[in-house]
Amino acid sequence: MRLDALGLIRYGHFTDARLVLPRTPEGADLHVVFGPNEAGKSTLFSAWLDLLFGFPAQTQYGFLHDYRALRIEAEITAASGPLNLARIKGRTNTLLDAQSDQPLAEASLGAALGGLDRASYTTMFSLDDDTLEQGGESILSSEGDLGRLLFSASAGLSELSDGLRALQDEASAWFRPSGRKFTLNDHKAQLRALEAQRREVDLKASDWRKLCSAKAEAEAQYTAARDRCAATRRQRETLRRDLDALRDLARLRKREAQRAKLPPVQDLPDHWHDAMPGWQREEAELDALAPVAQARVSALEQAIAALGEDAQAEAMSGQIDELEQRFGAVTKSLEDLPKRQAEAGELRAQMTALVARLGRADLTPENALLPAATVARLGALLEEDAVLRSTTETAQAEFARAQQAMPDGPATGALDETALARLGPFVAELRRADLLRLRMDAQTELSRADSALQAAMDALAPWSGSPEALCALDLPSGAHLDALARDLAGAGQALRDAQAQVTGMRGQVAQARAGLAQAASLRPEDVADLRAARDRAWRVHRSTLSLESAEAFEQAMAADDRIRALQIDAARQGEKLARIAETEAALTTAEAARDEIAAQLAALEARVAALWSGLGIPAEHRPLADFIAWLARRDAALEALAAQTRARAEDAALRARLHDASGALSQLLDALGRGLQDADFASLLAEAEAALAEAASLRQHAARARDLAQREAALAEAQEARAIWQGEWDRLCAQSWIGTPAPEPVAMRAILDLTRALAEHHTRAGDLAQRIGRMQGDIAQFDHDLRAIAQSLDEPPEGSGAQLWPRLRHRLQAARAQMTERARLQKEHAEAQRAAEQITARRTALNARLEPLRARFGALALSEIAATLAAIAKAREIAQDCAALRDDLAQTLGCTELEPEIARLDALDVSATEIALNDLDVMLKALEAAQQDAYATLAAAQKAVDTVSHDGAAARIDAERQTLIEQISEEAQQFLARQAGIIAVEHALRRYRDTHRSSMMARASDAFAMLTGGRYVGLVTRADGADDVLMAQLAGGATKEVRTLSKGTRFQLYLALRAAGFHEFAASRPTVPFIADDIFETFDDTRSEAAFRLLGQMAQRGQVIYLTHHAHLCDIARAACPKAQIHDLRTL
Amino acid sequence: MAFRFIHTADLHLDSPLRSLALRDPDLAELIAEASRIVLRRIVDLCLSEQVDALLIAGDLYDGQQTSMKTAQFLKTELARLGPAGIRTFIIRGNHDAESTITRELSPPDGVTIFEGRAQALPLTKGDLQIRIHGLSFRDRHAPESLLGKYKTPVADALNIGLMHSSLNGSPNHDPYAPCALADLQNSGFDYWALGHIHKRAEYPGPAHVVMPGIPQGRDIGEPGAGSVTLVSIGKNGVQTEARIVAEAAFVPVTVDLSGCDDWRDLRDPVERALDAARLPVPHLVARLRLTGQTPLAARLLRDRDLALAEAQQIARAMGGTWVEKLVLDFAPRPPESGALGELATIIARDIQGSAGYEAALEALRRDLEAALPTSDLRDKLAPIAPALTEAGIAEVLARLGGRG
Repeated sequence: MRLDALGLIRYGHFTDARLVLPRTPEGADLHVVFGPNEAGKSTLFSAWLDLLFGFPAQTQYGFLHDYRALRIEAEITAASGPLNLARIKGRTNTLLDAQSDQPLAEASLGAALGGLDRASYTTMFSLDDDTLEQGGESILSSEGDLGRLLFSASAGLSELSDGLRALQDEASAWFRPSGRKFTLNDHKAQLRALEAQRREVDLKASDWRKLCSAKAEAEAQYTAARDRCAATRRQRETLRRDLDALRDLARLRKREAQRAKLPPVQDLPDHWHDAMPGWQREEAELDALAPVAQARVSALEQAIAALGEDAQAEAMSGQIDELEQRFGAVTKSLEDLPKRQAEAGELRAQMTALVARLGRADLTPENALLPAATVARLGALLEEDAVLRSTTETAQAEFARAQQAMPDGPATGALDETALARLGPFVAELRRADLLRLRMDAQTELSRADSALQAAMDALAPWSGSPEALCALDLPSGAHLDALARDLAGAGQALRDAQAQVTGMRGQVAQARAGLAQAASLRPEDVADLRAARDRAWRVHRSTLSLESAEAFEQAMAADDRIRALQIDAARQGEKLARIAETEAALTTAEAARDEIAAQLAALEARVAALWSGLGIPAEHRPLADFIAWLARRDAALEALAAQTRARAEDAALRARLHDASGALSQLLDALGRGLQDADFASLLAEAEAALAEAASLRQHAARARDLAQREAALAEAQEARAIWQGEWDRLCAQSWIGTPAPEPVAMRAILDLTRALAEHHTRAGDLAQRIGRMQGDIAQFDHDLRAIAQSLDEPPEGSGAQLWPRLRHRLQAARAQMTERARLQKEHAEAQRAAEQITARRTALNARLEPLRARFGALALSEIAATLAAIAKAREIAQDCAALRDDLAQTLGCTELEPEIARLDALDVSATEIALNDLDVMLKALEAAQQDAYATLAAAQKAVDTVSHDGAAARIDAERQTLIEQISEEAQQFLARQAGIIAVEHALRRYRDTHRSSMMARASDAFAMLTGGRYVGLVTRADGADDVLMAQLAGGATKEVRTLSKGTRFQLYLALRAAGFHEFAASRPTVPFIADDIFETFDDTRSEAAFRLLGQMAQRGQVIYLTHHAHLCDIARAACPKAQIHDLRTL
Repeated sequence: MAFRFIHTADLHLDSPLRSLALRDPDLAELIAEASRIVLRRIVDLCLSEQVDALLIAGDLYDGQQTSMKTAQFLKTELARLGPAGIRTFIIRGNHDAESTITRELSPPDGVTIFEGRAQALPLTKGDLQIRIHGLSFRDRHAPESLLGKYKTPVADALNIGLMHSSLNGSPNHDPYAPCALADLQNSGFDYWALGHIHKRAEYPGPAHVVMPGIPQGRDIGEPGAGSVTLVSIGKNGVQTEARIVAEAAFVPVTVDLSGCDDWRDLRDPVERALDAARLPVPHLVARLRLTGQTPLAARLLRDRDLALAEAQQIARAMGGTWVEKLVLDFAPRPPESGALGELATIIARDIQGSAGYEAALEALRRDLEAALPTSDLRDKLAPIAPALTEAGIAEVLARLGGRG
């Protein structure tokens, strides 16, 4: 299969690009595709793969075109014939016939590919820097194994050896026959550990049986021991009981003897015995208390009789107390009286002085007093006088001012307030708007816009027409023109380049032909002549050996060399002719390319001419740049037109506003009767303002007249109030001692002050006289009462009240003290009397309670009765003890009839019994120890049985063990399966080696020699067991293991092997294009040329495409393989 | 008024589960004691359903079982039934005959274990008269039918028989006391409570014959949700109901990957298939069989471990679902092209079946056999199955192919 053309219709950054790889009639089918970095070499390769095998789900080549739009086309020559294919992105039916777009079966390509899939195509038929390097590495990892090397070279699988080794390592990590450390052994160890663990936690049936029988035996032994102990214990108990019974019997007999000594048991009231101690205490207490109580009563009676009394004083006690209360006040009055009397005299003197200041001889302190109402009213009138005076003065002043402010002449004219109310705001609004100035500005603007438009239209020459015609023009967009300009510039540059190339090539051809012509012009006789001349010169020089002869010889020699060079050139004429023919062919291609570019340029220029003619302007030699500049001017003209239109509209609007305002003003003035005929706006506005000013002056005159009238009325009112005041003033003076004529307000103020002070003194003098009278009365009354009491107490009334009073008071205090003491003694006597009576009552009650006892036991003393009662109680207690002892005994002996047992016990030998008991104790201790041991054994056995739990620990370990076995089983199967695969592959590789070694070795050996430039002469093998090892042979015959080769040489070896692999494949199957991507990066030019020769050899078998970004490689490729075709990606 | 009981068999207490899924310690923790969980659940069911009796038709344990703890556990659980008035009737099966622990433990109150001679134990439920027939065979092998040894059914009573029998034979089970179904159905009994075969089967007829199946399957060979059979027998005949008690169910699940082109496409079909396979048990252990036409087949062959890990992760995220293994079952691919194809062709044509190859493989197998710890494991590898070799070659070629 070969690729004739690849169309990148929509793919990566390509659009409608097409790479044509024409087949050369014969010879190497080698294509070098040159493109700088990023020109799309990898895109090209990827596109080729995508065409063959379909787009992968995720493609990185959809960045420009939508994924769904991606499309690649290819023309292919397959064994079955030519195919014209297209590939699109999608899930199904992505392979199409490029012409009809009908889906094609993938099989139609599959047959051409010989069943290769994408991965094997990539590995077998492509090579890049990385795979070359990996290939070099694989030579190391294959350890020179021939089978692996040959296979991986033809498969392109450089990682084969690594892969095989990894698989083997993986397998032997799990198991290897000779070794100890591998996973299977770990598993086994774990298995053993689990089994041991299980044994530890588990309990087997046999062990269980042992536990059960041990427990049964221990149980039997324990039962026996327990029975023996019990029997012995019973025996010992019998003996111990008899001995205990003997002790009880002795106690019984002793008690019965005690009982016999006490009085017989009688039935007595229960409480006697209990109450007896209380009775005894009561009797003793009463005996002690009675005499003490009696003695106290007598002593108190004597003390009362000894106390005396003052009946007279006691009777007067109330009156003396009352005087006592008054005594303090009277004493104080006596001290105070002279001071008050002096005070009254002082006051009288002051009053007399005040009257004297009034200056009227007819007045005394008594008649100089004025009535209070008169004084108050005169005071009030004094205050009013000041107010009236100020009011009158103010009213007069204001009235004078109003008279002055009143303008002369009367005010005339009526006001139409409704019309004025509308006119005022309207005029204010018009003033604010200033319409006249606005109108002037708009007109200026309009004339400016007119002239700007005219200038812009003029600038459009040679085009001429109206602005409307300009607007109507249909013109191309800026972007379109930019693209056109770029295309023009590109085409111009391309044409210049192409022309330069053509010229260069023509020069080459001419030069080559000239060389040929010179060589062809050479004649044999000229050669012979020159040779003879040289020989002659030589002979002369040899004989003379002079400077001249040497120079002559040198010239002859040079001429001969030149002619010889021409001769050699002539011999290579054929070769040169071929090269000229090649160059000429290339020249023809270059010329055709140039012509095509020229045609493109012409077409673009025609488009420019069309643009001018569209404007109606002859297009001759008018460049595109001018057209673009004209378009800019047209934009300016259109803008000026728009500005003019705006200015015109503004002016019209202002004119209309002025007209409206004039109409409204005219109407308002008509309403005021001040209408103007045919006046302009300014006159109308002035008239309206005059009307408004007149109205304002009329309003002010009216306001001043109203003010004058008000002031006049206020003055009259103030004068009337003054007359009323004067009337009252005169009347009040006349009615009092002040008389007529009434004094002035200033004099009146002094009279009123003195009168007020006099009235105050008068009041205080009255109060003082009353108080002195009251004090004198109190003192006289006290003295009278005191003397009356003294008389009734037979006290002598000598001396003053003050001397008499303490005597009376002392007598009264003594009488009161005697009275208090008597009352206290009488109270104590009554209490002592009551205590003595109580004691007597208690004794009577006690005797009544003791009456029955005395009746029962005879008239004994209380202490004797108590003793008898105690003896009877004791007897009862002992009788009860005896009965209880008998019961105990019967119980101890376990009998109902006590008497026979008592007889038996009396007969018992006590000491013999005690010895027998002792023996039994010793024996029992031994038996008990035995029983305890047996119990411990039983408990242990029981515990062993009981602690057998039912936990799932063993089951869990079983589960774990089972899982491990499953895992081993699974892994063992996997191990064997993989080993089967590995062994099969190894055997197959050997088989492959044997089949292909002869043909591949010969080719690889030749290729290797060529690539190493003769340093190595070829490849040989050395047997190593079942495997063969590849060796490189040096020029001298020595060999070298391939893994010891240098890195660069390993690359060359790998390349040689790959070439051999390609040939091997091609020998048996149709080939597919081989793609190499700049694999000579590390090669020098000599190596590169050798490598291109190798590719040229491969290209004899099938199509080889070499992608490179090194321009010089194109020349090397051409030199190594003249039939190679060079393609420049940039021209796509 | 009806006599109600639960019929089960083949408890195989503490017999370990056999699944690689238990390599996951979380799952192992949950279901390692599945057989115990299930017995406890059966006893709970008896108590909650207030049945009259529990019938266990043999194979309480596994043959090799020697742990008394297993027997103790059984005893502890059965002891819960007596106080609730629920009687338990047990016959021994072929595995119990082998097991040494069977004889060692005395049954708790209310539990009857039939011995070597046939017995027909009377019971009453209201006015119903019931006879429970049973017979435990002593030996591991019972080559002949035991039906003739049973007591004749009692007239005017419900006759229920317990028998451990392989019936007409079953591929995965040893023949044991074989017996024709027709003979059982015409025996005059009302109900035959069988045991031995681990797959549930029910045969209505003159006598209702039920094989209850293993209540807890132990590996993928005993698939599905194990159950016990709740039976009600009265004047109106026999009603049965299978009650699922299993803790875990082993289920083969097929996943069709047709149309999956990308590794990431695997999730959906796996999740769908697992979801569809869900059963009313706490844990589903799935063996995934991947099949269908998909370009991923080669990559799955190469990255099988990764695929398994991802499938397990998907299952885990679903909850209560686990994957024990992946089985890759893809249609054979056309021979691979290119050099690897050539290698494959050489292997198929020249290497497989060649004496040298077989000898090399056999030598390796013998070495491995000697190293394996148990005879079971050894038996599985002798001889090497051709399918194993094929799978190994396919995998190695896929892995050498590397890319793609």
